[in-house]
Amino acid sequence: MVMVIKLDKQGRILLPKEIRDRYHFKPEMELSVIEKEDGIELRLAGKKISLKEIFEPGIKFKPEDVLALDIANLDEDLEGLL
Amino acid sequence: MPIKKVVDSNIFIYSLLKDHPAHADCTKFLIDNEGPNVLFSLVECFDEIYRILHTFYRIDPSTIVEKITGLKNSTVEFWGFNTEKITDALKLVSETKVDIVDAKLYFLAMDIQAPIIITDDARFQNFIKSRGLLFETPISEATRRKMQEWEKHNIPAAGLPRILSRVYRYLLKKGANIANQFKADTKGFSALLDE
Repeated sequence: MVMVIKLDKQGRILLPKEIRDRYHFKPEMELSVIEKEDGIELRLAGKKISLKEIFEPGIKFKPEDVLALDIANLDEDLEGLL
Repeated sequence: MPIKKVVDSNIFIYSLLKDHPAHADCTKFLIDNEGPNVLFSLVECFDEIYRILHTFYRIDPSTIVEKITGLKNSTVEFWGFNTEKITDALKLVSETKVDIVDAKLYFLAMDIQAPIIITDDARFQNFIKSRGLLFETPISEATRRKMQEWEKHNIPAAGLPRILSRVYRYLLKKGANIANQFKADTKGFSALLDE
């Protein structure tokens, strides 16, 4: 969805109510303004998940499963090997 | 001001696989470089991570989604690729035969002025070098030797041997005789069956 909003004289913007409601934005809530290649992005400035929390437990896998053939999804399965 | 680094999906994949020989090196690199505005990648890498973990390593989809969601909410910045740049990437692919996601990673590095791309893909490393950027791999020589040994024991060579090995393992469930016949007929997974 694309919405057009205007900057006021002080450079402020008012997020439409529909957006505030959908993303549960409340007064005083902090948002991150992130510069992107093609514009800016607004995100809730929530707590970031640490990389240690993601990678150190890791995902266990069995090397023998790498060679297991998924006959029900053969096309996708063989494509993954190429 | 920290140096920005663009990270290829293979580094995330090795970091996510606990029992992979490159897990420790890649994880250490990512954790050591954790922080705002340091590590960047592309949302397309989520697709690659999902596809490889699911179709190759056989990881359960819900586990992969959980990890990708974690990555999305980490300090690593995953950028989208805008529609104007896609033609530049495709032009580069047609001219150089570089992989499309690698071309996009290269443009991301140029756009955010990241001088280093972190990858363990030798072809991509050559491409990066040819374009005047730097590459780095977190995988040490000792780990690489372990990886080669591990792959030799666990994963047949890419292409035909890998596909035929999978068929063999499937046939093993049907019976050892038929599986062993298949192995013999394919000359140890190196040739297609004769007519």
